[in-house]
Amino acid sequence: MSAGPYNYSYIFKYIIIGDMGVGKSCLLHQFTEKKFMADCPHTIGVEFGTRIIEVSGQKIKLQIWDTAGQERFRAVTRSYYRGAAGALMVYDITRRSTYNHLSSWLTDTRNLTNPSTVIFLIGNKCDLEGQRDVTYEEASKFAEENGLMFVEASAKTGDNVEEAFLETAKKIYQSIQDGRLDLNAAESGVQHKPSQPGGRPGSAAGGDQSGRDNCAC
Amino acid sequence: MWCPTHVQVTVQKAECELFKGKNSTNDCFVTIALGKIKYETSVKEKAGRQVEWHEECELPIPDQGNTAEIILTVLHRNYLGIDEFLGRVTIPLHSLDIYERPKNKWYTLQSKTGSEKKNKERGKLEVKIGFTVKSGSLTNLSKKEKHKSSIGGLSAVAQSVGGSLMSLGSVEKRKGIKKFAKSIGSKMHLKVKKKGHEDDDSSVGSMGSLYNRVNNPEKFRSRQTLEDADPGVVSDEDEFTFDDLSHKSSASSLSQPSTHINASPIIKVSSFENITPSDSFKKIEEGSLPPTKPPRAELLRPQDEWESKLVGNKSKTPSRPGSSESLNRRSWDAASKLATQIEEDPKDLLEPPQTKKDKPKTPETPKKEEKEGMFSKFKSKNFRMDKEINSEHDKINNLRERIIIGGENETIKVTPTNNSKISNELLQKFKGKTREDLILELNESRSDLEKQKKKLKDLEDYLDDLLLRVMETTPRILQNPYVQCKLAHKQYSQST
Repeated sequence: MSAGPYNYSYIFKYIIIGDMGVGKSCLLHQFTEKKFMADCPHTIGVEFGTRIIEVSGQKIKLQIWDTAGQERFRAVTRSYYRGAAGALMVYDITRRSTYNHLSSWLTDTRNLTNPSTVIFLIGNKCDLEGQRDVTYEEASKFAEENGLMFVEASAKTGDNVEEAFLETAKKIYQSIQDGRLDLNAAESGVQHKPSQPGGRPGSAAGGDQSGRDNCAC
Repeated sequence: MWCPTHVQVTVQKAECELFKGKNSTNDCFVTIALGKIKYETSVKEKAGRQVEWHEECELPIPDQGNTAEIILTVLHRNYLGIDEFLGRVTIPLHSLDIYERPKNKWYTLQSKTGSEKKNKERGKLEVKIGFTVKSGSLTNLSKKEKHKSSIGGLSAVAQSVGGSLMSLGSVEKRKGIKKFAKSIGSKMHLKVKKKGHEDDDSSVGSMGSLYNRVNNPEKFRSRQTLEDADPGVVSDEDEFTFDDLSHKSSASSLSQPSTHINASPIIKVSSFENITPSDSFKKIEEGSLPPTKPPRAELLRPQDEWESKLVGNKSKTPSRPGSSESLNRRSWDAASKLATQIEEDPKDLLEPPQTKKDKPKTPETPKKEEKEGMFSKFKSKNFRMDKEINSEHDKINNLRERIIIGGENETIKVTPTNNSKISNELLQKFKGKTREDLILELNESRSDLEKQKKKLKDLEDYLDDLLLRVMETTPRILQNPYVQCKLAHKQYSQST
């Protein structure tokens, strides 16, 4: 495999949030595997997927965390949010209720992440235009008012999925370049590699890492 | 199998070839007879060849014998002497198909038996014959009702009994009168009918019995008593009925008024059950009872309980909406009579049918206390029956089923099947369980559920805690395509 263990400069931590059934896991799967999971089971625990992307010539490993959407306040919630460089906030354009809950998701994200965290709003299932319940305009307005990036995507067709993840990464990278994001801060959600693996256990064990990266990336 | 109790005969029209009156006319009428029961149509005076009546009557099918036949006789009314014979039609019951839809049919008028030789051209008569279930066979009633919604069932019962329903229209009322007149007895009926003919000849679409109301105040009164009695009877049993309804059948759809309606006709039904019309009038008047019989002794035990209930109910009755005090008193009497009658019926049924006829008329015992006692017995018996139904609902033999008299049991039996929300299997599952059982069971299930929920919550919390530790210490193992990595790694290590 070409992607070696130290073949990237940064690790960005992403989280995906949103109501149950909006397609968080499917977005992740589409992004990491480029496949659509037709009968995606409800996510119960917490897991993450990875993929290495390239922004401005820099290889960046995205570590995207995904958890269940039905229970928002759990013991893991705080830990889940902590140190996220990017947050993908997802709603389902065919279900208005998922859109209506965005403000509370946003509040949680603001409270539990650091100010430099990039929040990206994704209106998922845009392939289901006929069942649309939330217009692009109002969601766009909501995003603008709250300083969010916004795109309508489809985990099924893959439309805009790549873009959403990449745009977020670009914004984070921009923040690093601008110096707004302190890489040394404990919970920045960004690790600079390979110079110092640091406390990140994932990158600590070198031998293991090679095996994992071989298949995951 | 459907077992009709009555045959409905509609005399439509006739074409007479013989003329006994002046100028080739007849004062024409038809008598309809089956067994001992006989009806006659109105007289169409100075009728020509074609005569039309369109009059209908219902004759009870005799209990015994399969050789019964409907005899329709066309006569010319001779006001001075004997009515003159124009022709007749005999239709053996066994020649009719009970499942066939009633339809008009022409029958050729025959000569009297024994004079067939003449073989005159007499003409023909158009008649429609249908079968119905009226009073008597509760088995059939319940079967019929099972296929209908509760309200439909109610109206079916009400209609088949007739008269007792407040909401019944004039047509039904008329039927009711007819029906009652029938049950009151042929003797009286005939007498009255004759009177009626003298008074009024038009009598469109009605049998002679209709005149009862106008011409026979006594009969009219008693009819009213019976009808008005129904709410009274029911009111005394409302509580009982309702308890059972709500407990056992969970038929929430049944409202109180409908219970009324439902229960009352059935009581009436039962009171006339298996009693030939000529008997019934006398019986009701006497309110008599054979002194001691086995079932009765059995029933004496739970009497006290019901008596107390009865007293309570009695004080309640006047406050019932839409019932005056005088009416209640009257209905009370009638109700007791009915109860008495009902009390008697099971014994009739328990005995072979033949003995019923020979049963001696017993001295009258309609004292007030006695009546009350009987009433409570009636109720307690119902209660007992109800128990039986619950325990061996499925294999109730015919005898038992016929013993189940009175509104409550009938209602209970019918309503569960009417409730479309609950499937039969589900009902079967909870069969025989009392309300108490069900409450306990539900309570148990609920606490179980609570326990389960708590357990689940604890597990979730534990998992979250574990997850948290993993996330804090070794998040790597939470990576999604983890297993494959591990395998790949293993393969890799093996190969090296």
